[in-house]
Amino acid sequence: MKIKLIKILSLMTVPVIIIFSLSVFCFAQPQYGYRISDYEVVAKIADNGDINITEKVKYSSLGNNNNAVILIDKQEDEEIEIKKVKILIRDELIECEQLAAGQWDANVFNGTYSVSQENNLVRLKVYGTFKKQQGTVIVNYNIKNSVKRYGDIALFDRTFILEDWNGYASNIDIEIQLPKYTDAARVKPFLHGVLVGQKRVLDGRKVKYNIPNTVPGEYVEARIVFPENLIKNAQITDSDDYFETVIQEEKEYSDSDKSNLLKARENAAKEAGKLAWKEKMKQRTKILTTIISLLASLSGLLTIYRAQKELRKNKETAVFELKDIPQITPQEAYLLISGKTGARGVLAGLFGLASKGIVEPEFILEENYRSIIFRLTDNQNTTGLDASEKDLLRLVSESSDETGKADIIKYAIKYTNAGEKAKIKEHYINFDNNVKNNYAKKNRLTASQIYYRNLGLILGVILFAAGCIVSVAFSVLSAYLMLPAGFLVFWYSYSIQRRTPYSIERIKALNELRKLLNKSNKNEKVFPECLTDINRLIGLSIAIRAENKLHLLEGVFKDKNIKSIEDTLEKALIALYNSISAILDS
Amino acid sequence: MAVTAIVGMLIFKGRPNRIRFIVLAELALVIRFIFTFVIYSNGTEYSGTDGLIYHQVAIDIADQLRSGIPVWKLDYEYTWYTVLIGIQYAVFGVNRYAASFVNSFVSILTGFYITAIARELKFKDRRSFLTGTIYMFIPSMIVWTADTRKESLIFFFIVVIWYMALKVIMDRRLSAIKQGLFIIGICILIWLSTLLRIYMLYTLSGALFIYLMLYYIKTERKLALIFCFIVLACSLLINFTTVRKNMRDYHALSMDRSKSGDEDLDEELSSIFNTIMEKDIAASINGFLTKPHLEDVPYITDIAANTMAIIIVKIEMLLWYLGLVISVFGIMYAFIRWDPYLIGVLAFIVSYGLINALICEDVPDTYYRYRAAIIAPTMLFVDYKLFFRELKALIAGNIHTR
Repeated sequence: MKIKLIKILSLMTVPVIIIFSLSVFCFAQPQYGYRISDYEVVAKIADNGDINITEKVKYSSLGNNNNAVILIDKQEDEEIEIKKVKILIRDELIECEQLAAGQWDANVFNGTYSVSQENNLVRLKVYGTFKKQQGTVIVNYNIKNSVKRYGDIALFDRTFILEDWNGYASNIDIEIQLPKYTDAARVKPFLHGVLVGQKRVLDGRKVKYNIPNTVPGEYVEARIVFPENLIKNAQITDSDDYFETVIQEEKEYSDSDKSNLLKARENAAKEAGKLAWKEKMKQRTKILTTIISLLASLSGLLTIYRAQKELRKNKETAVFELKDIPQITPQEAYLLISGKTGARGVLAGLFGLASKGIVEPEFILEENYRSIIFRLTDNQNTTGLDASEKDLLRLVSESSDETGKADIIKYAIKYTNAGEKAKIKEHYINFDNNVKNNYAKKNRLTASQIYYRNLGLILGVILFAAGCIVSVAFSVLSAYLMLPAGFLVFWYSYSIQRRTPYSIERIKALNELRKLLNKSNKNEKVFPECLTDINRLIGLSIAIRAENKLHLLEGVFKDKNIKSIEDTLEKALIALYNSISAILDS
Repeated sequence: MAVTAIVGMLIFKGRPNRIRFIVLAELALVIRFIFTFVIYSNGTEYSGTDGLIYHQVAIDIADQLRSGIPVWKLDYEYTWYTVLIGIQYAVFGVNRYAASFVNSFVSILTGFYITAIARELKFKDRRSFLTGTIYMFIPSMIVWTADTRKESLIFFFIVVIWYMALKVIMDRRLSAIKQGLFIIGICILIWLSTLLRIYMLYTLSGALFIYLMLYYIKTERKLALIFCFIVLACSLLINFTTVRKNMRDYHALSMDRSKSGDEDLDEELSSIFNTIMEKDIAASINGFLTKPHLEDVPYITDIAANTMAIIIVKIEMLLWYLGLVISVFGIMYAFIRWDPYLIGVLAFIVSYGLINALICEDVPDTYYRYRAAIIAPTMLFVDYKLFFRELKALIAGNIHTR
């Protein structure tokens, strides 16, 4: 049943992560893009076919606080020249300067603009200090060769809101002024790109377009046919008559189903609905994810609590006291204390080996040279040694010279060729594995403990991943709580073997030994008989990081220069640290 | 291009697949060159005004240099990067294309060094080269590094600092002199990074502190302590000199620009603090890591109405989200291994992200550009396999828990 639960949880991990990831797109903050609340255009056609246009654009949402973009339609053969750009800042119109070579203005946000010519448009980017992503921009520009002159008519054809613009615009007023008055009946305005909009010829000179609003996918194209003699100074585009062609094109447009415009409206309605739904869902999701995050974090802590409870069972059978310490090797003692083996484990283990009479340590305490030499003794009976001790013995015998002595510092420093490094690395890894295997064998987890360990590992992963993804995707601050909760559950489960009664009792005994070593009052130090062996004591003191307290054991180290021994041990540890980390890095 | 090839051959000497990788790097360089021609063909900026402004300031600096003003007395605006291109203009003549080409080269060099970091971290050759290749071909990265912007240099400094920090600790063959030179180099680069973006001091030195202290705790190597002490001492010095001096000019902070420039430092700090306090922290972090959201992309002013660019940015964003999700497991793997280096890099990513989330304007394209600095470091975490393999082995009992 429990294993099944773990399997289910494991299988759940992938879909949960995918759902969380997708949620980044689903519940991202709604962004409204550009919104224009008022758009006024006055276009004056000159008798040479050029047009002077003034656009006043009031943005209700710019999408940022420092620039506004206006896209200007540009047809083939047309030349667009930006004359003036102004922005409205605090009810004051500020004229902008163009950003171009030689016209650099250090204070760019006080009103500057840049112009980029692209294939069929001109991108005008206006920089200023806008408040709340709102602003008003007025741009005046000239277009050369814009109005086309044919044999019978002149044709004005411009798009003011581009199809690809992707924004929303409201209150669009476009006024087009012809060069001079003419018979109103001979002026024919057309409007494309929107389903709703008005076009009027006012007084034989002005044509007005009013469009209530546009949505992404719609555009505003104004097309006016008027007598060609009004632009008598313009170049002739084509001397053939064109009126019939225009009428035919307009008929085709009028008869078309305008499905693209209907689709655009439909999409905009859907988009608006989606935004409203998203907003609603965002609120609900925030509440829901807050609750789920808190519950999930709590479930993580509950798992730790349950695991802890499980570990406390059979506690009384694992009693371990100071006198029992010799049952564990110094390398295991170090593993218990720190969770690793490393240089300390090796050196402590060597002294442990010495306490069993297999090797004999010798401290070289000369003025210029200090080291520790381990010499193989005549007693090489390895029957009582565990696998890690055998590894150490192998290390000593392989690193010893012809007299059977191994200088630990010299050997640690001299590592030279790759073959030797590889050999030492292999020995060290074997030693490390054997210490851990031996410990794991003695400290076997029960089925229930394994269940809680695995549950904790998987729950930790899910909580951590959810903490990273949910907190970001849903913008929920409380979801960050799952991060430490997940980390805690994972780490607890990952190091569960150090929390078993077996480990706790031993760690307690080792801490007691450390306290005893640290006591400065000689009379208070009563070591059990089995701990009076000097080598075992040195090995254990290294394992419990108390090798610098050996001078407090003057009674044990009679006639020995304890301070020098402490220094030599420290030196040996540094040499071994460097050697092992270099070997493992290689 | 020849220099790129030579540098590539030197960095990846003896590595398999290096020729293919260097060919790809050259291709990435050519793409940047082409992009430079495209953006300047319009005669003005394409991706924001910074590039043009820095170019103009650099012309002014080149004039100052030509008139005999020494480098340390130069009057420059905005960023120290303008001094660098000013020097280039003074020596080789004013040419924005040349300045952009240097940026492109520096960007490819960054790709080399991120690959070298992956190699030093013992990633497989394939993964290391893939990391570098992806980095060099990220579309937005091409945009930010092909203009006369400071981004290229910032990304380079970040990656080189982390590369040198890794070398000092991991490369045992380095002599003490070289180690010392690398450490001094790191301090100088931290200072230069601070001149480019003021808060880089805290993100870089803080993250290096975490890396070195964790490494010391793990190995007890004194070198890490010495290294850490030097970095901290240097950071304090930079804090009380460069940071205080440059705080006023830091224009990326979204504060009220309508005020005149005589506010003192306290007002400046209080302005930053107010900006932070007004923010919804969770939404800001979301913004920094995930904006522009897919629906925002068409509204990025520089690419609005450019269908191809919109599609490219959307694809890039999708891949970025995927990378972010995968990197969660890379992060967990770094924690399981208790890898001081990767945890340090992570500290840099988190601190940089948090600072930017809190002080940047809430605008998708701003977040997009500022986030680019963490893309290279984040790529070191984009691997889920190692973590799941470890987890599976843990559950199956094939390896021991601690």
